[in-house]
Amino acid sequence: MHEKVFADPLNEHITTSSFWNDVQELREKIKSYKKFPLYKSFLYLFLLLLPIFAIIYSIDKTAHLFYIIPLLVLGIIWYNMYLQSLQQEIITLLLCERNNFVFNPVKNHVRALKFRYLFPDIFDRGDPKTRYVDNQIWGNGGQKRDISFWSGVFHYETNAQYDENGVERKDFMPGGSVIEKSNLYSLGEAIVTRRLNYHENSDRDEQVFEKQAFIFELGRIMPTSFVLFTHGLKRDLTTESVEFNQKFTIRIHSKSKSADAQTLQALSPSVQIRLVEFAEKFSIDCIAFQHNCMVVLFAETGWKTKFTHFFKTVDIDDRDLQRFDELLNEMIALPVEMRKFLD
Amino acid sequence: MNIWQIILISLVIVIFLYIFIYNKLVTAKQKVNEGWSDVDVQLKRRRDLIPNLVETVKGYAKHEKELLEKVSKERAHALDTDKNDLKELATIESAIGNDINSLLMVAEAYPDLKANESFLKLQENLTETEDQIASSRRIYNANVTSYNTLLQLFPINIIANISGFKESNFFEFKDTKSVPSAKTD
Repeated sequence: MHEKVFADPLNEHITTSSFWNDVQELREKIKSYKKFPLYKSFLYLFLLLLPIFAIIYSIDKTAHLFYIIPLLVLGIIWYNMYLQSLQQEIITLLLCERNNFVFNPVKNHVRALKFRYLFPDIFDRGDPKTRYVDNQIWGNGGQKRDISFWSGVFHYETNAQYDENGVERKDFMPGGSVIEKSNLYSLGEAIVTRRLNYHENSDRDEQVFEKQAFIFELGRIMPTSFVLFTHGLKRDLTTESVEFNQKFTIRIHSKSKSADAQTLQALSPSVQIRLVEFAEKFSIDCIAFQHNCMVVLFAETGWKTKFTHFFKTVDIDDRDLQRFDELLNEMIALPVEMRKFLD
Repeated sequence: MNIWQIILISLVIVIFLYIFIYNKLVTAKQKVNEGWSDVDVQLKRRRDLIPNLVETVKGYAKHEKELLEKVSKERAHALDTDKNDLKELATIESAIGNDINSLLMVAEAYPDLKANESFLKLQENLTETEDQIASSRRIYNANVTSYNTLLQLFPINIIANISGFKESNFFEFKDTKSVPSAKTD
């Protein structure tokens, strides 16, 4: 039997069994949590600790101020952080299994580096050593499930650095343009990617960022590449909509006049309205239309569970699955609407 | 610093403020005009589709003569209407929108027409155009809101009055039914 092959923006061969071993441990955890729910383990742990704390308290009456309460608070914070991270992985795995997507929870620095070459406007951020992607998903979306996408959480850290003029820059990247050839979604066509000439973005210094990225295959090559940032960079172009210009800053790769016209053609009134509504609904960092891809980078996590109660039941709520579908459809609607005026 | 210097500095500040606010108003007014030109393009596109629609429907639904004539008359009326009279234009355009919807509904009673390829193509184009009209209208009205708000702010309102900037009108349709989408089953 042939395995289903998933399209990958980096042209890697991804099949349903590609990361079988990487998720095996998570599967075991799901099994054990299903047998013994987390709230029970929390309760038992508390019951176990209670007599120990009572003994300490009987020996030293002031112990609660110096040991018991701080230790309890720290323990709860640590355990909560661990659970949050585990919960995200487990829920994403369940989501992928229910939708027949492929999931890889493992940190990957190499892919973050490759993404940086392909989409420098999106992934060329922070200290290069701190960049990695994890919780990656490969799947298909849209009403006919015919639009392939990749999603992952992009991690990076920013440090305050200084440029050649000694001016402190946020997220400063030396060098300027990055040129690299690669294939996108197996189209067999080489593309050249240049980083837009800017050095700043709205990210704060000395911070750790986790931003969810989605990359969709558009099914056609865009006549021109452009990025819509939701933060204040120098803009290349404005549209007729004041509302849209307040929300987005357009940056275009090519400096030709025809690129301006092609960008405006792609950003028809209905596309602008959809983008504005999308940015109102979700916290977006930027949206790029490049070659045959659309890249959406959220300011944090694009999809969060609302109805799943991981503590009680280790399963994903159907309404959350539906919300993920809705999110995918809303993103897919953007290039679909755009195509009407490009074809 | 003597009194003349103070007057001179104040005058320079006032002139710069005037230039700054004037340019801001011009930019906002320009956006309103750009927004309107978008609406105008889409309305023109819809009007251009009407003769084809009328011709196609006429071939199959001869009993709908009255409705067909009404749409053609309204189209002619829209072409003659002064583009600056937005109230009148909005009334005519919403009537055209409603009549186009009625024409498309008529197709339901004529299976041959419903299956006609050029009719389906027209229906698809009209649905798209309606969508673009709605979006352009929203953009235009948002630009008008932003411009009109600017005109009411102090001290912009003083400069706007001096320079002859006037509030723009909104372009609002009344009771437009949505266009039935094309189905090819």
